[in-house]
Amino acid sequence: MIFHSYTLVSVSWLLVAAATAAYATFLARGRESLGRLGTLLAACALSAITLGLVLRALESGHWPLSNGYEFSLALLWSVLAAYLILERTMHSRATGAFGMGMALLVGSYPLFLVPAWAREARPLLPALRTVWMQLHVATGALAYGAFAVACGLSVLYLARDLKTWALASLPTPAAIDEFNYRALTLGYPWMSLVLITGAIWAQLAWGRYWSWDIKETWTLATWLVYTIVLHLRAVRGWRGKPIAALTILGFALVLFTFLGTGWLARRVGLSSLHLY
Amino acid sequence: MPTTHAPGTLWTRLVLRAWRTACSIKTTTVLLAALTVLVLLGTVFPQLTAEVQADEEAYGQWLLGLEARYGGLVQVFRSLGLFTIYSSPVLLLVLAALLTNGIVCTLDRVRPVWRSITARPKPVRPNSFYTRTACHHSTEVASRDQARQGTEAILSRHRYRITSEERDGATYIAGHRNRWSGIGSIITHVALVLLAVGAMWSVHSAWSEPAVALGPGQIYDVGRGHDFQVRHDGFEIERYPDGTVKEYLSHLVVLRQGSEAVRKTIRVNDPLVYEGVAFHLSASGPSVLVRGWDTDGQPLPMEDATNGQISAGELAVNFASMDQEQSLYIPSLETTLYLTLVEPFAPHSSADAPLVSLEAVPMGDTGPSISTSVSSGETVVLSGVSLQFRDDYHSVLRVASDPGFQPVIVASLLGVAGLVVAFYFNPSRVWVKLTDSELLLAGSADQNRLACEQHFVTLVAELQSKVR
Repeated sequence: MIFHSYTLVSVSWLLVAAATAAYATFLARGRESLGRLGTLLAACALSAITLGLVLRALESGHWPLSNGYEFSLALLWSVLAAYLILERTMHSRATGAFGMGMALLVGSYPLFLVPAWAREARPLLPALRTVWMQLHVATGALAYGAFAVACGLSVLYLARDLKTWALASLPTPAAIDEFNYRALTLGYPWMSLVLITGAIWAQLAWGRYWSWDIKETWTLATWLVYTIVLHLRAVRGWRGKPIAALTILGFALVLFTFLGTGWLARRVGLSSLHLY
Repeated sequence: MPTTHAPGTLWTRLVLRAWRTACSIKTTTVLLAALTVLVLLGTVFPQLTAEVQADEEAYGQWLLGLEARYGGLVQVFRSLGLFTIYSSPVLLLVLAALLTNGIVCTLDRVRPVWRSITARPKPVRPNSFYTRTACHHSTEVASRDQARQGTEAILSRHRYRITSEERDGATYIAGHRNRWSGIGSIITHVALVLLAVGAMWSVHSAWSEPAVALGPGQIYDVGRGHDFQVRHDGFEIERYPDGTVKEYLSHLVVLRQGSEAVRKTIRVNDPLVYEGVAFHLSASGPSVLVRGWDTDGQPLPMEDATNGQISAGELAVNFASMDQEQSLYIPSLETTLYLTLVEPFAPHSSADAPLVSLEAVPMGDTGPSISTSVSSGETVVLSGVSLQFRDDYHSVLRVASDPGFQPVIVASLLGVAGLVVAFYFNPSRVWVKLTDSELLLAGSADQNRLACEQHFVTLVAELQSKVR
């Protein structure tokens, strides 16, 4: 094969870095052409990671959603797609630097933190050989991608109040809040589907759709936090900072569910069907 | 300052206040936050499962583990219910309150949503309305009739439901788009209530046998009102070319009144489901198939020591682990056979390695009559009785029935459908006032104001090209 999937992941990361720089300069200078360049680079990064995922699927012989490395690639794809969808529907590039900033962080994980042995394509274990695993992980990537963008926007919202910014194209707080809400509504139905597809898979594999396993409980808690955010937004006086802070908390739960539940289970001495 | 009271008796006011509190979003968020904290607490403290509680030995070990971890605090934590959070009255209370909140909110919302769906938009608005509204625009028109036709055509193309009225020499048009989307949140809330009903059905009616070990040819009687059995016809391991396991396969046959009703090869994620009872492949383990015949060549009756069942000619002995000792009893010899596996256990391999160490102990006798190692396929003769041993696997099945599963999933999917309607079909409204020389346009949206503004810009551009 001429290209290895890892090469395309690296190219995608470089394009995301360039897009972040272009959007940040657009934010500082207000030149529309820089914003358009950011969009072009983000679209190219999305194309590169899409091709990278296709190559990875060909290398491994299955959908590239079966381990932490592959999930982080899917997450990078999802963050880029979620941001570009939001940019198109909201007709604004003003939050691009923060959306791409999140993509840059997410893309750094598979490139710099996952060891080489963990990147090797392996055949699927019997427990993972079902379409429900693919749907469960894919919906998770889509939900977490949108929530990552929402988290970036919430950081922007809170940082905006520091008043140390002298940026030409900084969006209004109301616009960031609106963007944040759109990102949340993009991710929330997928997050609900994560729980549903997980329940169906658990029923098929273990004969019970809910067992208070640590991973599924933290996923439920994440869903509950985003449910609170969406409800609170309808309460007078709760828009803005509280919503931004809760959105960041929601994404912290997302990260902990993904990276920290194994550690917690070992620490507390819990057994988990998700740890093997 | 005079105090104003809502009309009605004290009782009515209290009921109204309780209703308002029950359907308030603040109440919802407080309950959701409480639920979040409770479910997360359950991951910070080890939780007592029903399976551990049912097994005295496992329960004792579990308690010892707690004492080793928390020392003297165990009693304090136990009295606070921190080890049984998922079955605690506090959690049930929060869930019941959330369910009530969901029902009351849904009922409270039905009327306004129905009104917004069926209400006829009022087209006639004062001129000041067109400057007060979030999005507004004015443009010159060449002809009122032409402008009206053009405006209605554009609004229809954008899926607006149009109402128009002529008054005081002006044409007023009102358009409402996605007016039905308020039903989305009602669908989601109804779905959550249905989900809770499904979950309660699960809690009430679901049952399971967590670990049914079946060796080759062994039969499991389902019971619990079902008149069928399941026979295990063998276990296989499918491998990738590099030798790693691709699939575990267990061949099952449903028997009804002794004859075969259904046959299926189950896998880890593909159970056999028959009359609402599911047979999941949860594990596998070593098994030794013992064949026996007497001096006349007739099948030898053998008794399974684990359940007391007597089989003629063939009996599978299942081992939960390599170091476990298992036994079977031969009534005709009044002898118990003790079997221990010899490592490595490699079923179906051609190697002539020892399979089990065998010890035959006659009843009432003090010493063993035979103590030997036997390979797979080897025959041992004991007081004229022949016994042959063969290595194999047994399957461990989880047998479960949960009538609440399907309602829960259907309700959940309904909930997601409601979310899609609520989130992606945002209602928006436009008002147009047309005179002989001018078109006034105003627009508003409850949600997604930025997108509405962009949509308004598009509308204005299209209208300008049509009406000027």
